[in-house]
Amino acid sequence: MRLCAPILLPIAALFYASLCHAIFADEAYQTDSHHALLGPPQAHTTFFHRPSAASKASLLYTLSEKLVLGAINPKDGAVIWRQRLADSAHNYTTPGLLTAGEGGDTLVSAVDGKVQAWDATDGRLVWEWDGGDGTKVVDVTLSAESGKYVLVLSEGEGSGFVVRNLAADTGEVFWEFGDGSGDAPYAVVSSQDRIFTVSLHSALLKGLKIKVAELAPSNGKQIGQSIALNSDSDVTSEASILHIGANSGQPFLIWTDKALKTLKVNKVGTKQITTLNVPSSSGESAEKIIVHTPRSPTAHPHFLVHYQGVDSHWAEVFHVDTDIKKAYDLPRLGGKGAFSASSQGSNVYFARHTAFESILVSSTGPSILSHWDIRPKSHGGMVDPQDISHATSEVVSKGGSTYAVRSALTLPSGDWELIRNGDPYWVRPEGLTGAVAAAFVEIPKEENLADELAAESHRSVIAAYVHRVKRHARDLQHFPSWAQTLPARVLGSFLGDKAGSQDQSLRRDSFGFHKIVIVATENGRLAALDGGTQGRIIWSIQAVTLKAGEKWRVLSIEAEQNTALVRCKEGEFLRVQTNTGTIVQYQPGGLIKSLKTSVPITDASGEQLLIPVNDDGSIGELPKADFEIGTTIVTDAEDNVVRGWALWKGPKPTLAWQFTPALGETVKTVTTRPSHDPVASIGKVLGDRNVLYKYLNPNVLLITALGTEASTATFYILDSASGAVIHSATHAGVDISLPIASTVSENWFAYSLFSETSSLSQDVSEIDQQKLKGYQLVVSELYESPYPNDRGSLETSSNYSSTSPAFTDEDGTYDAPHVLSQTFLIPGAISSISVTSTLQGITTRSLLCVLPDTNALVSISRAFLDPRRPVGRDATAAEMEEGLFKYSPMLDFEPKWILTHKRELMSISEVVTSPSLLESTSLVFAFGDVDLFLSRVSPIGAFDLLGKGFSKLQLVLTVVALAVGTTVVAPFVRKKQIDGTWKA
Amino acid sequence: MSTFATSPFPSLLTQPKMLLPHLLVSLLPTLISAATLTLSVPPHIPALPPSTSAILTTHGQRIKVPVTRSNTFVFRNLTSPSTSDPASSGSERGISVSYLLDIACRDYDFLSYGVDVKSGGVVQVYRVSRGGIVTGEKVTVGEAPVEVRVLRGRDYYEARAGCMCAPILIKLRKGGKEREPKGMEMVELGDVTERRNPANARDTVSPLDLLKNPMILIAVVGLGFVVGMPYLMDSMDPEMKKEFEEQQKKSILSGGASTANPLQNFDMAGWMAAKTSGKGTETGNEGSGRDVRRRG
Repeated sequence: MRLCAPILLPIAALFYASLCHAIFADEAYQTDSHHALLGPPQAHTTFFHRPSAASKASLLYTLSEKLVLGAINPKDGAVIWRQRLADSAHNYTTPGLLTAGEGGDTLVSAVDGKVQAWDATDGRLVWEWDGGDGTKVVDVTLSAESGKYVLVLSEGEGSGFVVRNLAADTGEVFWEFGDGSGDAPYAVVSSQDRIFTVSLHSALLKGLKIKVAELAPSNGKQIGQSIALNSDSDVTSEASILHIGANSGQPFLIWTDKALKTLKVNKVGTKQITTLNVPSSSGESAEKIIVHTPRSPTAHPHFLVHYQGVDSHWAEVFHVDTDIKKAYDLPRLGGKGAFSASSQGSNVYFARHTAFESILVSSTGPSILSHWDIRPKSHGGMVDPQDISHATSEVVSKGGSTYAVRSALTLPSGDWELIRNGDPYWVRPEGLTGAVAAAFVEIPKEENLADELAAESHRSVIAAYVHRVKRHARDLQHFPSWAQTLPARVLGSFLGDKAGSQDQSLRRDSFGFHKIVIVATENGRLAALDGGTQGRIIWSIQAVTLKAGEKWRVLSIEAEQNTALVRCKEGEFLRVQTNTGTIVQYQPGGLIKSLKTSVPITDASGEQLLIPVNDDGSIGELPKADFEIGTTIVTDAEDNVVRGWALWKGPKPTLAWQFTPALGETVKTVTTRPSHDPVASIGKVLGDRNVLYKYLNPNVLLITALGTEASTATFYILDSASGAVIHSATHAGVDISLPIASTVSENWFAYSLFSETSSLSQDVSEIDQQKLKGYQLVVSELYESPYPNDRGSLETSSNYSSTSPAFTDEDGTYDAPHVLSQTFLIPGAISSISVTSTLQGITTRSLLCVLPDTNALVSISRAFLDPRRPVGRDATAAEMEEGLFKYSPMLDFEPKWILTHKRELMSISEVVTSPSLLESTSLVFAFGDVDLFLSRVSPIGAFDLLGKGFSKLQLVLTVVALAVGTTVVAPFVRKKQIDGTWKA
Repeated sequence: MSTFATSPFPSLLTQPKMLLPHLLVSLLPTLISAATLTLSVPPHIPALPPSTSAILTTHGQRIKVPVTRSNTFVFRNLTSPSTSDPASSGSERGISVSYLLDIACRDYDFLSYGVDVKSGGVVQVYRVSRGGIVTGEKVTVGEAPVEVRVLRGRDYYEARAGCMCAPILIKLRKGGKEREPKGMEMVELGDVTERRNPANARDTVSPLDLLKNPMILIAVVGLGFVVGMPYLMDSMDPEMKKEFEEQQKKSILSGGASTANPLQNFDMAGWMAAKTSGKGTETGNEGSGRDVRRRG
């Protein structure tokens, strides 16, 4: 022992150091990948804009369907900054508004009742105006006079609408104008030195009259009488109004009738209405009419009307002068097209994008200025330019007849592609936002060596030999490419090649890091990301077609041999090939009305079968298969009851137990142990070499029940075989509107919540009066007995049953496990907790917690969260040997624990993990409403992998130097030995 | 309220559109009790990333504001609750609601604060420890911004062994020329033209590094002894040499035995079983026993 002590101390020190294992600076951005997304761009909020008057290059701005406001560098498609204008949990009702003044350095956005101005360069807030609950901003316009003011039109305060004039730099309200007429506000228009409000007045019989009123820019008083336009025969809803030139020098209103036969154009401020007929040559009528005008007020008042028919599209260009006249036609072309308007100075250009070409025309004449053919299926076949939803362009005249055109096209998949002069430049997978489920799957093996060898063993000797020679010859064809890469690989491994030649091919690697991640999104898309190459998208498909506004309700994705099973609500499921994205099997949902879902159950032969579960929590028809007797299915029904169903010999499952939470509580989540949850040791070896036996029950369920009225949260641990409540804990004063996350694994469970509790102590001092509040992380461990080397009732029994548990003989109570709990005060909210998973479960697990406030993913080692940490005293030598140290209620999220380091994850809701072939490392994929993040985590360091800090060159040189040294010294030593022998 | 008194009903009918602003003006006195709290960060902190936000949390309410262009956080319309609000603590010190103030930032950790909003729009800010326990003096704030303190910058990365103390190289442009900063010079972010972390640069292997290798050092020292020992021995005077040789003979025998024994006889199983008593003496006995056998 005298000897041991000095050895142990360094071990303990090493262990401490390994507790805070962080990401190496040279591995950051190499081993992890991040899709920083915005969401599908919206047509009315996407534009190129110069961030400030001084800047030469413009950025691409958008307010996406996910209400993410972002600035994109058009050169490489990288996000410069982004802001989420809506809470992901909060259900937003408006698509949002975004406007920017020419030459200004701010963007003004409006969502619901909030108007915010953002610095266009760095995305920080300039000012904010909040109308409060119930207010809805209908329109936001920058005043035409050099964008000094922002005009905000809002409804929801009283009966009418209010126009406010805000200073563009401070957000201060200069004047406001209220309209109590009860008309629906539509827009506010600023033109040179005049301000108009446009509202819709319900006509006597039917339809809406467009009412235009002029306001004085100085004080907001109405000038003269409002003008009511005779639109009631055409306009029945806001959708009939096609355009209002809010930002242009010459504002005009365009609307159409219900049948899309005529266009009515009115110069705002006048009563005159010009009627134009919608051309419908060759028999096809327009289905949709879109008006494109340049955004700049200095541009010519020219506009393009885009008519989209069923099979073709065409357009007309109009000029607004003293009257509105048509300039020219753009010919009818097949398919869907997208137009975009752009201006440089006063010149206006229109770009037309179709599936096969893009052309540029000037607003003055029909001659084509530039024409580019589109390469079909750019970006490795990932982008299909069919049916472009909408586009925005920037045209720069390079003098003479050369033009540079950059267009950002939004594709029906939601992807966003930039083409420069017809060349595909970059694509952003915005269609992957709104991820609802994800799973790691193995890369399918190309050639199975085991199968080949099996084939050889079943043949005659000669046939087997021929087969082997053939196989070797076939293998030999890989040799040249392998030999070619060999020098680079050797050199790379010696010189510590930083980037490492990234293998683009889909082949498994020897460490098991290379896996595929299948992601399902709420808009019915399925995609596969390559875990080996920076999250490259392998395939992306529209798996199901959904109606507008409908969301794909995916429950889970399960990995199978070469395929992945995507399970959805109402029994819908599909199987997809993992490497190609081909759908092999699809069963639509809704066949059986009451069906809620289906759960996969493994039968006795190891085959997975889907068991239908009805809406009321009962189990439907069982498929004919051999189930292991006693398999329990737990269902969570709408009626707030958790049920356990046991499969016995008969064809129908029997209700084994029902769990109803306490009165006033509702079941929020039911969590089981992860499917891959290996336990390396059944006990915990203490410092004095005694063993504390873990309570390892594979049927453990963690049920979170929330008391809405009483602000309580109760966590129940159930045995799913018997339905017995093993343990429960109730927290009072819990804010149930804030995230409550929980997880269960091995013999422990953890949860996090926000609670505000009064001190329980009787004496009323200053501190006690104050409520204690904050976020807590509670960790509990279950042991078979509180005493070491004791297995409770299990010790003497040879087998154990959940349904008839052993009773202690004295008081006849159920022999419940011993639970140790500890609470930690954490600095911020945790919205989701998951656990790292490694192959054997030897590595200490880490909790992977999503921190929504700091947009980060943190990995907290279980060593810090050990409930056995000594409280109020320093750890003894024996405890230190175990890795325990003094308990401190405060737990800070060390920056070194943050897996996402400087990356910022927006709206992450869930994290999935998968083991790699290395015991030290677990693969991590985080997804949610906006972002996708892929990384790997080594909770106690990559102890089975040579790090990049290991210099192979130095090792080789050392060996060489030692060899040289030995050869040089050997004659001396030999001479000395001989001399010595002679001397003796 | 006075607005209603002076505007008679007929005028309301003739000027219906002007009703609302008057209404709003009449509402203003009640709105004034809503307080505004502005937080600022110390001036030496560069522009915070746009994702930075300040969050006020209390039971049932959460207010989050993003960082502004001037590196401040502005909470508007902080209202004290009505008496029926369950979040209020109806103590004799007046109705107030107390929030926890956190600043979530990618680059810095900030100290935690508590914020009390009392009736009449009085706002108090104080330092709190985790859990909302008041540790600092409550300061009533007015219009002026309250400065929040930075606890530390956030360092996410672990340095590789060997480049632990490598400084981050910064080049900056100040006054037209590109140069490296002097000593403890305060560097503004805008002046930095190049920022390089040597930890990112792959270490190049130099022959000098090789010599620092412990294996090589041992070999070199060993070589030095082998080569230099005879010369050292020769330069000793005969008396001392004899004495030294005698000692060497002794130490080889006794030293060899004593150094080899504890390691060879280390009882791994015993150590694993945490056998603590009588171990040392046992080892000693065994060691001497072997010695005897060898001599015999």
